Amino acid sequence: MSIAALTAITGLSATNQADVLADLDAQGANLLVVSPAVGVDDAPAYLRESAPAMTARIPGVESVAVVRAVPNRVHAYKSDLVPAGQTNGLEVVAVAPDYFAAVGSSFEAGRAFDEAGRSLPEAVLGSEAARLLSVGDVGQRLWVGGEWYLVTGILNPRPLVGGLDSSVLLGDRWAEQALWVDRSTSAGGTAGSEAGHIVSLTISTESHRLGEVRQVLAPTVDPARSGAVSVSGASALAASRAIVDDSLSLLVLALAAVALLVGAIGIANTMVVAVIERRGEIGLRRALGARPGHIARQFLLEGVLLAGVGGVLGWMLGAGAVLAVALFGGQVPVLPFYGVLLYPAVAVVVGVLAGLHPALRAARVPPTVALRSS
Amino acid sequence: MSGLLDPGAVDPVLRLTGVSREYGGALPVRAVDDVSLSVASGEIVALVGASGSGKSSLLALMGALDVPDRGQVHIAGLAVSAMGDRLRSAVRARYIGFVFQQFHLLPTLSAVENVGLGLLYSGVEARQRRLRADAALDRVGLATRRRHRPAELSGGEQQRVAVARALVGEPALVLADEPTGALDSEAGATVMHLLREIAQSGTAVVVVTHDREIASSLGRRIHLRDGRLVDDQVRA
Repeated sequence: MSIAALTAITGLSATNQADVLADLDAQGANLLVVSPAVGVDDAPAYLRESAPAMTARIPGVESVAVVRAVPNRVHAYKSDLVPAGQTNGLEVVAVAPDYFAAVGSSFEAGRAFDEAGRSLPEAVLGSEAARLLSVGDVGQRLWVGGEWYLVTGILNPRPLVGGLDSSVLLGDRWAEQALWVDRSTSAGGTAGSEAGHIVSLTISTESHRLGEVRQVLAPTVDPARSGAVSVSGASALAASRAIVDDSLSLLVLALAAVALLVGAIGIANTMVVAVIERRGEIGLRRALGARPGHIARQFLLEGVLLAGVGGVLGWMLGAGAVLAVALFGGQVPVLPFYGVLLYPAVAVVVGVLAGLHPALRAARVPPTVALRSS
Repeated sequence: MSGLLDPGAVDPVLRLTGVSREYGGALPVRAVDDVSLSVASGEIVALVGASGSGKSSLLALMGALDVPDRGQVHIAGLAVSAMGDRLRSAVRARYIGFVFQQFHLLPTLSAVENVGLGLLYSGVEARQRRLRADAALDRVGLATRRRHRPAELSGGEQQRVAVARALVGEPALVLADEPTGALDSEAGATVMHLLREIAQSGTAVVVVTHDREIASSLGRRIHLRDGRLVDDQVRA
């Protein structure tokens, strides 16, 4: 029974744990954002062009999403009638089509711009940006940097990717070929030198390697000036992920220990009662020539069998419970596979420990009880 | 005497010399008080006395279930009073058969398996145990009941299974504690008949009994009172 509890507890918690962790990952707990540290002179700073390729080589990194700058003058408005000052604080950046998958965002409406749209005046809006610009659906137009853009997609909220919700995302090739070139050729400004520079990287990691990736990230992005790189992440979430991972395991361990203890006490109690009830049999066996060791061995074996059979049955019962609960809760059942062999084995060990005392008691029953009880 | 075996004492099978046994702490009760006696092979002896006269205590000493505080017990020439628990267990397995008032059959085992228990601790292998148990059941006239459980047998049949268990190991000494106490007179007579047959085949038999009729039907009667041997007479 206690093995059933053990299996159920570990199984249920593993199921829940997997669920919670998947949830946290979906929220972006496994994301890191790299951006240049703002210098003392407040000059715009950018990451090196080699950074994405270098970063992708760090073990544990699953994908790297690049965000590039657009010229300072480019802001987004609902229409050409909105005064230039009312930018709503929206940020306009340029990204590649694979950016959305890399940061794990999903679309409330529409889709990402494709390879063709990457070079066209199309925009994808973060959820907050869509609300502020009163854009309810794709197909609407947007006034950005003095031109009309077609809204092709609206994102679901993704608060953990810094700034994404209030961003207006343009195609990187369009930005490079139209925005930067346009400005640098027509006005001959200084912007040309910063054309399409990388303003941040969003890095998705294998969740359990987040910490190690984070440590090597800054030196990888800029080996010469790692201090000029700031790495941020959903650190609170990452921390809570670690806590969920550890504390649930610890909690489970504690519960399992209690379950085993209860089981051991149960077995020991059953055996002690058996020894008392079977004093006559013990006396008889002693009279027939059984040595104390024979009696102890017999009772120990019975305890082990009791525990072993109970362990197997308990595992089946517990596994059934986990399956049932998971199916009802719509979760994917997670059963530690080692349980099949481990728990019955644990049960046997517990059986030995719990049976030891009763067995020794049985061995001490004097053989004369066979005579006395008659 | 050096060693456990006294070569001159193999017969009598059972010899008690000045044996005493006390129980209890603050107010000790002397259950057996300076008893000396011997029983030869082929002899059948009645051990009689009122309740509390020390019969069961004496039987426990004779059966190497207990050791005396003083005096010596020899079984088949072996000084069991000087032995530890393990050796005494071996002596019981090899030389002694017990028959109890309440039969003490294991309810989950068949008749033949119960009889086989008598050989379990002598190191006889399973097939041999079964063959010899079959033969012993045949000897007590229960060959047809070998697969029956104790609950399916009458009291008399159960006690005959117990007798078969006692003699399956071909012991030198059979100790029976009120073997007819739980039986009607007819079944009791059958069991007593079996015990007499066992004695005739050369085994020493000691029967504890309250029954005067049975006691007087046996060749020798030992009378115990307050732990002392007060009478030991061989009937002419």
